Order: sequence, then C-alpha cells, then structure tokens
Amino acid sequence: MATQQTKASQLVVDADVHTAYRTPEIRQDIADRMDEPYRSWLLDDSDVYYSPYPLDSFPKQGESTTEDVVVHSPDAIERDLCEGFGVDVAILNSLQKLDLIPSRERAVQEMRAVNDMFVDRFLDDHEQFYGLAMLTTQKPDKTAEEIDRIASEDSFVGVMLANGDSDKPIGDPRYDAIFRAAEDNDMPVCFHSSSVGYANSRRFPFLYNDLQNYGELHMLAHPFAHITDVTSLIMNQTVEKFPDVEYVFLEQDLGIVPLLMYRLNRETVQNPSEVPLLDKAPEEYIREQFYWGTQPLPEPLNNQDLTAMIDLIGAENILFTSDHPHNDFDDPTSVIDRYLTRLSDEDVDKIMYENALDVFDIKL
Amino acid sequence: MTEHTIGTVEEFEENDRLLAEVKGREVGVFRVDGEYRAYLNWCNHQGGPICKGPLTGRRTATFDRDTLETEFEWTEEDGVLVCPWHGWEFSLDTGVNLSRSDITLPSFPVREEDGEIILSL
Repeated sequence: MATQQTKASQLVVDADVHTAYRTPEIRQDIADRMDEPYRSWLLDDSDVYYSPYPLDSFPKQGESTTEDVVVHSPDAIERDLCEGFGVDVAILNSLQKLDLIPSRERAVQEMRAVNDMFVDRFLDDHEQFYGLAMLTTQKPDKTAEEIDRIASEDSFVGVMLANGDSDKPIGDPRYDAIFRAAEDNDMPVCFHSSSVGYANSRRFPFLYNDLQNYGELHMLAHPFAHITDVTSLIMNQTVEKFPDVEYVFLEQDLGIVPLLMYRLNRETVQNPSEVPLLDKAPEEYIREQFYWGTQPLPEPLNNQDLTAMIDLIGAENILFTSDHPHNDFDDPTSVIDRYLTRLSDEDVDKIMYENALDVFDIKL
Repeated sequence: MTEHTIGTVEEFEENDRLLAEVKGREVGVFRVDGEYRAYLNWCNHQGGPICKGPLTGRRTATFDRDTLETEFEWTEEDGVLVCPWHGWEFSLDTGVNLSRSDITLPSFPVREEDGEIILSL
C-alpha cells in the first residue's frame, strides 16, 4: 500500500472501532456466561445477518459482514487497524443490538455477559485497546447497576448505547437513572446507530421498508437517529439534570451539528416553559458537553467548506473515528493529509488524539 | 521516463490484470479491447488499492418525461474498475471517475512489444 508522509500528528487515537459480535465462537463465549434458558436461546439464534442491502464491511464489494472480516480477535484488529492503518490507540465497541432482544430479562443478562466477554476477549493484555461497555435501555435501573459494576474495570473508558433502538428517544425521563449512573462513575456516554435497516426499524420503520436503494438508507439512518437523540437530551433537559456527563456521538455526520446547535437555540427560546431546567442555550450545552466523531467525513466539492464546518463546530469537540472495518470507513492518513489539510497543526492534533485522550481520560 | 518490462501477454490469458512494483510505485496493468492501460495503484479518494478492486459494468439510464418511465441499461461489462475500499468507480479505458469527471486515475504509458508488456515510468 502506497503511503505518504503525514502532516503534524504522529499519534492517532481511534474512537470508533468495531468488533465482531455474532460469530459462533463469540456467541458461545457470551452464552457460557448466561443462565438458561437465555443461554440456549442465544445459541439457537440464527446467525444470518439478514439485510436486503449491500453488506456493511470492507472491502466494498459486500463479500461479507462485519462478522466475517478481520475483527474476531484483538490480534487481527491490531494487525489490520494498528499496523495496517497506523492507529496507535483504539477504543473498541461491539455494538451488540441489545435493545432489539424482545425479552427484557434476557437483554439485561446478555448485557452483562457481553461486557464480561469483551474484557476477556478483546481488552485484556492489549494495552493499546480500550473499550466501551455495551448497554441496553430496556430496564434502566439494571443498566445503571451495570454502569456501577463495570466502572471499576480500567479498560472500559465509556459506555455505549445503540441509538435508534430504544423504546423512546434517549432523553426521555425514564432513562434518567442511566445518565445519573454515568455521571456518578465519570463515564462518557457514547451513541452509535446503524445503517443496517433493521436496527432503526423500530423507530423509523420506513427506513427499512420504504426506501428504494441503499444510498437513501445510508444517508438517513445515522443522522436521523442522532438528531433525534441529541434533540431529546436537550429538550428533556438531561444535559442540565446531569451536567457532568459527556456525550460522544459516533458516525453521526458532522453536518448535523450546526443544525442542532442553532435550531435548538431557537426552539428553546420560543418554548421556554417546556425546558424550565435549562440554564444555558442548547448551543452552550453542545459546545461544553458534546463530542462528535469524524467518520464519515463530509465531502464538499470545495474542501474549504469542510474547514469552515469544523471551525463552526470547534476542533476541540471533534474526535477522529475510523469505523473500522465498515465500508464507509475513513483512513487516518487520508483524514490528515486530504481532509484536514487546511487546519492548524494544533487543531489536527486535537482531533486525531488529544480530545479522545481527554474525554475518555486515557493516560498514555 | 524509463521503460520497464513487467510481464508478458501470456499472463493475461489467466489473469485480468498484472500488478507490479516499479521504482517504489505499485502499478496495475489491464487489457482493454486488445490495448493496455496502466494505473497507479492508489485511489484518488483515500489512497485505496484501486488496481486490486473488482471489475464490473455500469448502469446507464434515460428518463422519458412523457411516459415517466426510466429505462436502464447495463453496459461495459468488465469495463469499470471499482475501488475495494469505498467503491469509487473508474472507466478502465480512460481512468475517469464515473461520478466525477474531474477526477482521473494517475496513469502511465504502457505497450506490448514482442509479447512483453512494457511500462514507461
């Protein structure tokens, strides 16, 4: 693979790296940590990752799903991502769709088993890997207990919710216990959606059933879910109830950020009685508590427009993410040398590693 | 530029391309209607290994405003080179990107002589 010298940043922290979660071996590993009947139910689950659309992993030609490519083991991730793409520190997530499990009791048990498996299989003995604990929202009090439980594990640097799957948008007061636990344990809360239609089909069924092509789905799925949940967090005042929580959004598209800041400013001023707890403008909460992954970087015809967008959002609020191994990933060298080329060295360093080390409290 | 023999015509009987490293650069050579094309193995998008990507065709379409029907046609089978990283598509004949006509794969002169494939670089 041809390479070229990279400007400025020599350290790359990648805040969105996926692992496999449905291979027979991994499912067995999870099932071994569960009680019956859930153990058998998980093992009996079909391993068909059905989607009518092109599959999600790279290489592009849809030869496989995430489950079939290189992300089964930390050694393979290290070879492909760290050695192959020059990532120094990776924050891994399994993106298990726990909220799509109909049985709430099973979802809770599987949540615990997944997180234990994740530490044993992907994080232990790999100093350059950190993890996001996967959460279900189906029983918020149990989710809060899980945050309390995993917080003592040093390799977990945050928690993750698969947004788009929850019963209600994530700022609904029923989920307050989750954010209180995150604040008590100083755990950033990360959000990641999915462009494989079924994951959004509960809240946005038309995304799965009514679109003509994959590009439509991919365009809408992630931004839709994130716009919904950021709006919910602001308009339900979660950001003021738990002011020390940091929110990290992954694969949301940077383009949604100005929309959220400026339109929510207007909504709250026009409806103040709906948000009596808010002390600040939404834009202020977003600038102070919200962080945004880079991938997939917008591609304006004029690269100067991307620079302008980053200036609007603030380089201090942006984290490099690759989305490895998915087929819309961003190569970190290209991010630095092609997309961020007009930024100062200081801003590039913030995006490529400083912000992530700070938000996730990682000491190298 | 210097000339480099990087393979033979016979190799195209079993393969649809040759990949070679010349002077530190990876190059892919393809045969299009009996002629040869050589491209740098580096996609303009994010530097992916374009010359290792699959070949496919392209879909063209025409819309009839009166009938409101769109007619599709699949053409140029194996005439489109697809980057395995993000699916950017380029004409194998011209190297021009199918969506962005201002983007062209870097290419090199290449010819066949006495059964040998000769690249100029």
